[in-house]
Amino acid sequence: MANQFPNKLITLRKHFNYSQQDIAEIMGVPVAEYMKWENGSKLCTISQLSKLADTFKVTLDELFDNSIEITLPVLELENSIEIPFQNALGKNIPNITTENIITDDIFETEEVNQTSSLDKTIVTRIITDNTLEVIEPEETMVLKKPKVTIEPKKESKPKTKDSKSVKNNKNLVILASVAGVALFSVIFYFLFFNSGKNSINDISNLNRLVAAKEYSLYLSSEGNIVSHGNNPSTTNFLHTIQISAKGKTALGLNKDGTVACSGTDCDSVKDWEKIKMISASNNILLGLTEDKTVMCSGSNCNVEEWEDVTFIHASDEGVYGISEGKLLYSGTSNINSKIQSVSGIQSLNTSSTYLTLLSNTGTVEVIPLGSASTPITNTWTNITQIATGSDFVAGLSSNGNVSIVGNEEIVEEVSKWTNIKYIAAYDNYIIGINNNNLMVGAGDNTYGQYENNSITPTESSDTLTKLDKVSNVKFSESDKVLTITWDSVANADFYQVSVNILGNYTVKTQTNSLKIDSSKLSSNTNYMISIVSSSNNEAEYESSDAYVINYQYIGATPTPEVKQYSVIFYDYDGKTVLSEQKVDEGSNAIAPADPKRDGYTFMGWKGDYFNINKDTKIYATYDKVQVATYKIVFKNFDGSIITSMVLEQGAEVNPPKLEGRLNSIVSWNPQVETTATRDITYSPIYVCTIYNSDGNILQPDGNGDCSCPSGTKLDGNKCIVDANPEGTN
Amino acid sequence: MSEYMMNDKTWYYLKNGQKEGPFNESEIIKLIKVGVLEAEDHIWMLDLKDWVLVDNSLFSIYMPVKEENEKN
Repeated sequence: MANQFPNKLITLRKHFNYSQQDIAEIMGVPVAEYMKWENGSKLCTISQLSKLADTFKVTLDELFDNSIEITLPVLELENSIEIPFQNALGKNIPNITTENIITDDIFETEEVNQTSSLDKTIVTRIITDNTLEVIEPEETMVLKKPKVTIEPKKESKPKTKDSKSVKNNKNLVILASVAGVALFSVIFYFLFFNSGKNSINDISNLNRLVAAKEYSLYLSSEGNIVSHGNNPSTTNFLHTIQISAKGKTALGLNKDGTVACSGTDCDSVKDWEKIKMISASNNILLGLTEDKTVMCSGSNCNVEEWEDVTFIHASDEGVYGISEGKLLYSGTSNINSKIQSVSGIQSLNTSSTYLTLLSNTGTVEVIPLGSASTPITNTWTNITQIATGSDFVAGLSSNGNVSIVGNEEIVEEVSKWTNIKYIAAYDNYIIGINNNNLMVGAGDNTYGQYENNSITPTESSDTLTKLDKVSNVKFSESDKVLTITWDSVANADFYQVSVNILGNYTVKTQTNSLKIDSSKLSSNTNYMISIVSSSNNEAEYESSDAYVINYQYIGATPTPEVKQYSVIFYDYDGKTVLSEQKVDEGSNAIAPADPKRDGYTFMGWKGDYFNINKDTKIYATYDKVQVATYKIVFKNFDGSIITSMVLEQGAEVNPPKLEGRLNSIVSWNPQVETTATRDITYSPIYVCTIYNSDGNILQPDGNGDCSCPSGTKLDGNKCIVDANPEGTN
Repeated sequence: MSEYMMNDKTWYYLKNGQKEGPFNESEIIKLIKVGVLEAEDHIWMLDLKDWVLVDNSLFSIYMPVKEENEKN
């Protein structure tokens, strides 16, 4: 069945004379979202549908079931009365409908039955002239727990109150009073029942303090925003649980997952929803969604494919994300190679100079974004927050102290801070909030970005003697070890040596030397090495300043392995292996003895088996031997050819069988050679086996036959005179 | 009206005379999307007065689109 909801929604809204903006505010959704419900491109949730039914005084069935037509609630007055209400108390304050307004008619003691949200019956309450009952709108106060039953629940009528007659006609006074009471009740309801119902976030320690160029913002636990300096307005930041800003645009994350914005480019975030974290820089606005994807507005927003993101950070040159402890980056800094091997990270922030990483174990690593040297943070532990300036890096420890390295003036000031719970930094200043919710700050304060309530602690270091810095540091490389030595320092009990390898290699040694396993180092690489001398007697001696040196590790030259390759010699069929060898790179293989093949002459090896530099296959090649052929012809006695054959030299010659003739024997002439050795023609030769009377052997006739001459007859093998000429031979 | 969240299991369906549930909103929608629940089945949640035919419900938009030769 066709979707009737959009039409119903429009009809109801117009019936109550609401604008789309009104309903969107009531529902706590962006107008663009609400418009999608009216144009049918998106369906609201059942929870939202239920709230719409409440708002429009219809049943959920009427909205949910396309086969049911809506019954428009009867409005008692032509217009509903709106009592202006301060937004600070909450967004979801509905207009006061005629539902709650008493009319003259009702003063006549009638109950006015209208459709309710439950059973299509609404009772408009009646108020006496002398007393103003504190009546709460029934529909809005009915709060049923979800029931787990199979059957549809039975109709239940809403509670009703008995109507009371009104004795006088002080309409306006009562009207206003009732409206006020109803308003209070509605406010009460929404404050009590609705607060946080649609929220998906709560205030935490994340994004509570902002240090921007010309201002700072602090979000208190009560949700108030305290600002200093030239800040963009935050009057539209309601139910804020996070803040983020660096420049002219400030973001506030609302409890319901939408984003408030002040400044430029705010249109791009107005439709964001289900946001869990925000981050803003001067030119990028970021939102981390509930499903761990990233919304981005501005430059370098190539983040559409980012997944399982748990942390986001917008810098001026790009977007950072953390997914499963690893860094994601989209931007213009040439940093990808530096962050590829980074893991175990829970948060980060940046300045123009540094990328600061906070690990899951509370340690801090700093990656310079340009040519700056790396601040040493290897000894920091239990860090819970980080802040990065252009020439300093700070880490807030779980004990409320701030570790800081860099700008000496800022370091000196910040080192005095105690009981700090939040820190934030811009390029040239740092601020903190202590446990008393007082702000402290150090560095530039040109725009009045902060007020400094820090208390200078009692100087107690006068009694401490600072140990000397180490000196005469020398390096020695061997095959497997880098050895560092230095001159001993008086009163030092041990030395802390840090090498700026990813993974924060830090070691304590009691001697003035250290051997480092070469396998931890890369050849031709610069390492920042820091050595601090320390004493076990902290009451008398404080650690020295760090001796920091940039050392280029050369590394031992590795002995190259000799490579070998396989060389296989195959016979003509490509399968028969004649020889298989392992040959050193650059050497020659040795060919096997020439192979033989009947009827063929070996011609050589196909393939190059000299100066071998890869696995190689070599193949034997042959030429077929050329054999002589001969023509052998066998003729008949009359010269016709019996058979002719062409035989290879040496082939067997098989002569055809000769047919015998009368009184003669036949044979081939010449005698047949048993194998072909030449071209030759054989002819039969016949020899008579009978003699004439003279004793001479007869000659065969043209057919090869031998007969006695006429007048003679054969007697045995001799022809004799025939005494009886009629007789035959 | 009841107050409930999307993950609350408040939905039931009636198919071939058999009732099943409870499901949350996304689960009942998924049953419609994958075709387990069809046009002639019924769904209900605790704030509805009566069972609603899937084909008449707002959730009918999640029903799979039938090919021409499958339609009646």
